[in-house]
Amino acid sequence: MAYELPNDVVRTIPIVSMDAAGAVVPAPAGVVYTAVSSDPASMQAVIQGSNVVINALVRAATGLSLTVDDSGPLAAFVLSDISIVDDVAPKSVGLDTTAQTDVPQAVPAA
Amino acid sequence: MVDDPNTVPSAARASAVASAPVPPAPAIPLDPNPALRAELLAALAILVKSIRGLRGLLAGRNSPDLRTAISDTIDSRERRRALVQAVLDGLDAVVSARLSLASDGYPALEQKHLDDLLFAELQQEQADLEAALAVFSIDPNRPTAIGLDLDAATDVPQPAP
Repeated sequence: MAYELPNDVVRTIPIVSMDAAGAVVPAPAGVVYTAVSSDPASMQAVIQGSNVVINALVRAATGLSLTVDDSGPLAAFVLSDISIVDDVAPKSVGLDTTAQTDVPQAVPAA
Repeated sequence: MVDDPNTVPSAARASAVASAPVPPAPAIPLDPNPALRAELLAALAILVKSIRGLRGLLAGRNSPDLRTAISDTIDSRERRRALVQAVLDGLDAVVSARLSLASDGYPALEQKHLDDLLFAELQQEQADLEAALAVFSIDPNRPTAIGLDLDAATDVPQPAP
């Protein structure tokens, strides 16, 4: 399943270090991360401290990937199959007046 | 088998070859680039011949301007000959170094023999090192990989592109 990045947000994702068993452990001292977008024209990726920050530069795209690496011996992390999508999460209430229906009622006396 | 280092052509030999009617370049054992050597020897032969001819022209009764032109041409040909010779000397140096290396037994390395006492001393040192090494082990919880905590991602709005 694709990882979806809404096109109307700047997303900050914490970077973690993991041991051989996959448990999160403290990062090595002095680690310097790098982030590379597979398509910098479609998705921007930058490092801010111990976070990677990504955001869409186009309205829609598929098949993107993000590689986070370090200057030391840690194995890189690749987040693949990223899709840039329109944000369809509900954020406000509206009325669909084109789908309205009427039923009769008595006219109010007043 | 190691070949005779005397087979390496010196600068004098190169010049001698050049002034002769271009015999085929002799195969040089351990030559790093026989094709380049042959090419340069051929070029050198042409240069030596033309320089000799130009010097002959200078001996004639020429106008001062023609003498200058001939002299300038000799200078440029001499410069080229020196550069070619420098490369040939470099090739000779490589051959000489490779011959020395072969004389030293390369690529074989000598198996050094020790008496029992010295060998036992070495074995004791090895045992001490192994004992010291056993004190340490690799931290199983050391970080080995990078991950992203996608569940902790936060969004701030931006205008859609």
